[in-house]
Amino acid sequence: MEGEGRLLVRLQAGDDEALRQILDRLGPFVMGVARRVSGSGAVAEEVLQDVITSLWRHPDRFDPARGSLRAFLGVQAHRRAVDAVRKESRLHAREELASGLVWLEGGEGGCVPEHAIDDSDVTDAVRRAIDRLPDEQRRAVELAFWDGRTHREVAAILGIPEGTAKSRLRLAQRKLAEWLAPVTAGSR
Amino acid sequence: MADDRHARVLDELHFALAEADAAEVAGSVRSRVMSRALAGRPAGFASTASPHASGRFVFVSAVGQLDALLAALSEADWRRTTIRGLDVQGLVGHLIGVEAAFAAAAEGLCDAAAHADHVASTQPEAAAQRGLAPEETLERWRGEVSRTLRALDRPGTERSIRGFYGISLPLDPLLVIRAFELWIHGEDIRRATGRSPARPDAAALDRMTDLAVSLLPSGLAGAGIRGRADQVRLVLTGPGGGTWIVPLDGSAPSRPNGGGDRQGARVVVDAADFCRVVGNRAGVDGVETDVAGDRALVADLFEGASALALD
Repeated sequence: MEGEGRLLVRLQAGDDEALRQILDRLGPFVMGVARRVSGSGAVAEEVLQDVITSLWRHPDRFDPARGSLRAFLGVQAHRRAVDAVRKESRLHAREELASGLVWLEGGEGGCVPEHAIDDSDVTDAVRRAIDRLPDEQRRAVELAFWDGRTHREVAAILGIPEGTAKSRLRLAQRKLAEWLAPVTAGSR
Repeated sequence: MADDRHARVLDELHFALAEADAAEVAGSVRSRVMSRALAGRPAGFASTASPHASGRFVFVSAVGQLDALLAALSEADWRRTTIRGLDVQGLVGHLIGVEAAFAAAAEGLCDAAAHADHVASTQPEAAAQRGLAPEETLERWRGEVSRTLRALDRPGTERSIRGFYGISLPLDPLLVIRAFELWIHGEDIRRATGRSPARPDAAALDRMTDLAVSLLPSGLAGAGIRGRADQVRLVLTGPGGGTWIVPLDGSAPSRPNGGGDRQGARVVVDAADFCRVVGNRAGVDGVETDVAGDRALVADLFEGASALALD
């Protein structure tokens, strides 16, 4: 997995192959975030287009020291999807849907610096919560969260179908939402 | 601050778990997304490209950078050994010789340097500095530079320079090559006197990399590399950077066309470091590179780049 700092300098240098790599790796994730918020495949495609175009035109807006590219793109996708839903005047219903499914709203800047993780109470709480998960789910979450792997990479590393990797993450998501509810409420 | 960090941890976790919702991106969507992105910013050009600088501007900028360096040298610095066994003063003598020849050509007085040997023809001037005070050498160099700048302001200079040490280029790119030479010898002096390397300013580096890449077919031919069907994706990072597809068959490099064609190798290297390779001051192992694919192709490319150096 190529470092995100290296991918960024390639984007800055106009290397379209780097953009293609990012689209292949994180495009499904961006589409997924946008579709979950908007409930629309068409909106998700538009959001993907906007997010990728924006990254290509303004790569300097992504700062690897502040967190992962996935979180950066996730925040952009979430915001744009919410905007799209608003435009369609379905805000109220969709926001309810979104808050019911997505247990955290996207934050302002996106991501967390590596050095900031270790001394964080929240990180300890997250670590303890992940440790409570059943082994299969815990391993999938560790790969996705600590190692920054995509669902495809999680599936390949664990030798399981992609759908299974997704279900394990989804099951973990529900449990973690419940266990971390006091923490998430306290940090918002 | 802590709350912000906490929120970020949770965001990271949230988006990691959102991988569960990942949706397939159809090939047609992928193509449309790439086309739209590349329509907004063409492939190959740096996101923070400098405005186009004239050859004269780049030359003057390099003169200023070298002048500041020379003015800061101590008596002992002038005696340090640099390249070809020359001390710093001898190397500046070489530059005086080059500058005098260029000024004479620009003035339309003499085109002896058109096909002369770059090193041999300046050796007498390098030797002539022995015994002189460094200040005197510096003033002589400044004098020749002033002569060049005056000549550049006269009409007809473009016509009077028919070539320079075997290089036949219009005046504007020729001045970029002159700037390149001043910078690379400045690097020689920095190295010899224990100073850190310096980058040319971004606009100058932009012109240097662009010109160096365009001359790669000559370098490859000079290094005896020709007839290979492979291509290398050359990604130059930092100020002055950009991306090119360099064929190793001698045809002209180009910016990527956005079509997603695969090359035999990709090399990512800092733009100033690439210029050090072009100046034959570093080889493929002497600069930090990130290579994907066939490393032998990158070695060929760098060998061709180094063959562009005059000395």
